[in-house]
Amino acid sequence: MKLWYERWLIRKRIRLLYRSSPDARKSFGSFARSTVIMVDDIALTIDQQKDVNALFAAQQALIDVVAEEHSAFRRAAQARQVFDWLEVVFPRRVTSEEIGDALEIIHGLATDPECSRPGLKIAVKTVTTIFWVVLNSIRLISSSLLARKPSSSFHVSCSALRQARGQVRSKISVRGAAAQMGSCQSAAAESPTRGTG
Amino acid sequence: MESPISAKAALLQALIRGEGYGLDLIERVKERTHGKVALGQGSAYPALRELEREGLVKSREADPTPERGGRPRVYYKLTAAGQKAAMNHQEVIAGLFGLPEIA
Repeated sequence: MKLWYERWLIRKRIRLLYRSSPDARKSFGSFARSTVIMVDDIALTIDQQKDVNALFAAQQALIDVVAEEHSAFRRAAQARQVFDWLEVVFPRRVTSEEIGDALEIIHGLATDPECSRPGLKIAVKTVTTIFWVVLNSIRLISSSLLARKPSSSFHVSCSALRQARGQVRSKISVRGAAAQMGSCQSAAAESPTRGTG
Repeated sequence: MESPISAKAALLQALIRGEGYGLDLIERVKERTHGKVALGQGSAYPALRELEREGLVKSREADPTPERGGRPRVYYKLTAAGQKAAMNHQEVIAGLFGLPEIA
């Protein structure tokens, strides 16, 4: 009964791994028909007459390692896909910096052999990055909108234009008058000298 | 406990050592404060952009790398105004805590 249960448990784990990736089929031999499991060119033979428990434990450990590594790389690839979509929607300034840095961390997690539960950590990092990219994009857009003067209605802007044009005209007329006055003064100043000369 | 220093001030101090990119600066702040000030994604990047808008730092994009999915690293560097602001900030902090002035 115990043997049957342990076998069932291993089959279940392998089936789960099969579902997670079609590549897993290549690395694992057909467990259901034969009694040999191939994992990364290591053959494990299930011998029911010998120490089955030790063998199952070894298999379990090996499956755990392969599954964990596999899930980390799969999660990293998924994260990259999600981030590529984010880049389409959100400002480049935010995405290239924040997503780039997040991908660097994710790459480190996926390749670090000492990292425990890398798949889970990558998933959490992906979710938090999405959250911050969305929030920081909103912040960036709103701050750039607020930094500029709020655009007024067409009527108001037209009246503002008219007002500005009036100010320019008045300045020109003032300058013209000043110039005229200046020329008159200089003429008046010059005239007595001319008269005497 | 609340962080004893704002993200902008911490980043300015980290940039005194030379130019750096987001992750690197976060790490520098953490290292320099012995883990007391830990900047996150939510505070570091907006603070850097704000500093740039204020003219205290300037940014440049480096070559894209495969680890970053072909995205370039954005490096930040202090401007002259930024350096002045960072030094002023050091003086203020030193004065506040009664420390000898930093040369």
